[in-house]
Amino acid sequence: MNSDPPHTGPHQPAGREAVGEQESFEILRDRVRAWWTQVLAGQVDQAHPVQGSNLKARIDGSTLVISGTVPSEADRREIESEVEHLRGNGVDNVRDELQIEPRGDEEPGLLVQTLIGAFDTAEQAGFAEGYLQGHAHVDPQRMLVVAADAGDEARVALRSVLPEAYQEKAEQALAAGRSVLVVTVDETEAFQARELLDEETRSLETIVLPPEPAERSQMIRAGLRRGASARRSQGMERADSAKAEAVGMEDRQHEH
Amino acid sequence: MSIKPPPRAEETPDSSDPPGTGAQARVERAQRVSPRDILKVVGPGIITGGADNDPAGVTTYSVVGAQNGYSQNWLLLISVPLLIVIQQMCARVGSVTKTDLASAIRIHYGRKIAAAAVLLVVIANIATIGADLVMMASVLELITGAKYIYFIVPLAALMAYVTIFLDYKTFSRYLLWLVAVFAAYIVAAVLAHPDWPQVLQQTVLPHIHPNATYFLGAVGLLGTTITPYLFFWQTSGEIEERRGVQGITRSNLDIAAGMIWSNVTAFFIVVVCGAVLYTHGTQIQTAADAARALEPLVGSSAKYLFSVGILGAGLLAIPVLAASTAYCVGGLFGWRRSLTRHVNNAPEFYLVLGVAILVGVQLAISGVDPIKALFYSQVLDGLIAPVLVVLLLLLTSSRTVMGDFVNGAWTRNLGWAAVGVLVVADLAMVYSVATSGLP
Repeated sequence: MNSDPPHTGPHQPAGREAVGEQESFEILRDRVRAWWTQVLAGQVDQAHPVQGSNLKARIDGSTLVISGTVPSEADRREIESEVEHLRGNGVDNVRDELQIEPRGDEEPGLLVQTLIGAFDTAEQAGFAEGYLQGHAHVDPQRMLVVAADAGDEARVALRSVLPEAYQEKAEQALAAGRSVLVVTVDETEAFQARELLDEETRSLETIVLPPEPAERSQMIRAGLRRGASARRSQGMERADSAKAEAVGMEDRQHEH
Repeated sequence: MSIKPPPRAEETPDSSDPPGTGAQARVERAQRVSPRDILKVVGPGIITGGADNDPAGVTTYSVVGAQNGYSQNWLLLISVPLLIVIQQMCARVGSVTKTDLASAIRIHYGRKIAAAAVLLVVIANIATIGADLVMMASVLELITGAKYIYFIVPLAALMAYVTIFLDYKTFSRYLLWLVAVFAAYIVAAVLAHPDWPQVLQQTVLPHIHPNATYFLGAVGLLGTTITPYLFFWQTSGEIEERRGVQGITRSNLDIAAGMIWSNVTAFFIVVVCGAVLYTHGTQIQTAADAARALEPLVGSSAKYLFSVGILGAGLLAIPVLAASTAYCVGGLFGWRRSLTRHVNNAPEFYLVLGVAILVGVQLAISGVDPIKALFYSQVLDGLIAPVLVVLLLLLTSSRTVMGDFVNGAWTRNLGWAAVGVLVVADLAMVYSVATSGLP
């Protein structure tokens, strides 16, 4: 499990995403593999972790038949690459009956929607953050994890991204010892995001805020990034001096 | 692998649009429906609207027509805009909050209020399931001669099996053609040669007879038209279809077409029963009596035509009623809930669905009179509907919940008008029954 301190600020760049997000990435990958194993065993009662119930698969003799719909050609290629490792494990052929069916005729980029998920622990919230980040059909534009014991800075960041009416709900969750994940996605992805929070990462409660114009959200993100940059600069200075101190300690040990 | 690599670099925001542009304005621009698209949109709505007339609805309209003639047609007329507005609000809740009605009530008004609302709907739904089962079995008795009681369990088992283990959506597409039979009431009404000036007069001018029969009929008619289970079903439909706010215009057109067609069918059911049964003082006490309304069209074959329609409507409606019950309870407790999920993936949802049908069976085999059961189940709907419409109005009038997609003035006013009509009818019924007893 993640041994890093709980996230208390906006989503960190690659250097800090580390264990929680990577763990989510690997867990999602493992779930996909486990799903295909269940297909081979003839147990297809769960939906595909990424494509959901739109993807159907069954074994017909030694042929794996995949059918249903996927939203794009890229998704079809992804599915085909997923099943390649099954060949030779009881599967001689793969029959692809997938159809491309774009999900709805809604236009992305117009509106965004923010979701608030409450979790028992900061680790669970961090896991959910990584899970959404790694999911192919959800592209979070903003993510913020705030632990129950977060300091003022994190709570200020939380208040800056939520309307007043929802700040109280978030504060209530924090006061009850829960951790909160705030994620903003394109409105066309909000159904999927809610389902993932509710059903895959098992949030205790998921609240979806009303849609708002995408540019309003971008302005808030820009403000958050400026704040995050300032914090990172301070953090990097501290990390550099800590590293220098650690190297100095190692050198002194080698000398001994 | 269908999993994304680590996040890409964030882009610098750059928008040439002025800030603070209302979300609704942007959606309206994106979702203008061309005249050519209108037919594509309303077609499914009309089909679905036809399916809204379940056995309980058909029986209630038939009883109202037989008992009161055309004197309650004006209620059908005024309920059209009210019903459209209510269903559109339900759809908008799903599109904006991305969750079903029971969940939305729980999140914004607390578990206790949500539990009370869900309990009311569950009771009404199960009563209707039982009544629908009895009516379906009764029409099978009508055409086969075998006692209706023998058909109840097999019918329920068939519907439970299809809904829980098979693909109900595909199954329902075939059933929709059976329900088209009810369009026969339109032709039957014309062939019955009603007094059209009187029909039209009593449609546009309210006629109120202050007695228990009239007010019971009014509440039953309103309850079967503005029916609570449809509120939850509508919202869940938006979730299943993943129809976001950009689809609101299309959804509104779809709903309007469906509800208008549903009420047009209801209107002609009332008219033909008024012309064929009321004018001869014939009350509806059995399925055979109800079937007689179609005699002007098909003569002695009326019972077969009526039976086909009732069976199709029941096979459509009972799974919807049971699923609506399961969505309500699932939304209250936050369970996985969807008819697209396998039973092992949403066990609590399907358990509630199965229990709803089972309890309905218990009611159906209790020896209850089918016509009375159907009619009074809709009176119960009429009693609980105003409570749910008020909750719906509070949700959809809240900018906190709906943002820029909050109710406009027309919607708000029509919604409260619906509450007013329902409450007045309910109070009049309760008073008249309390003072003069049940008819």
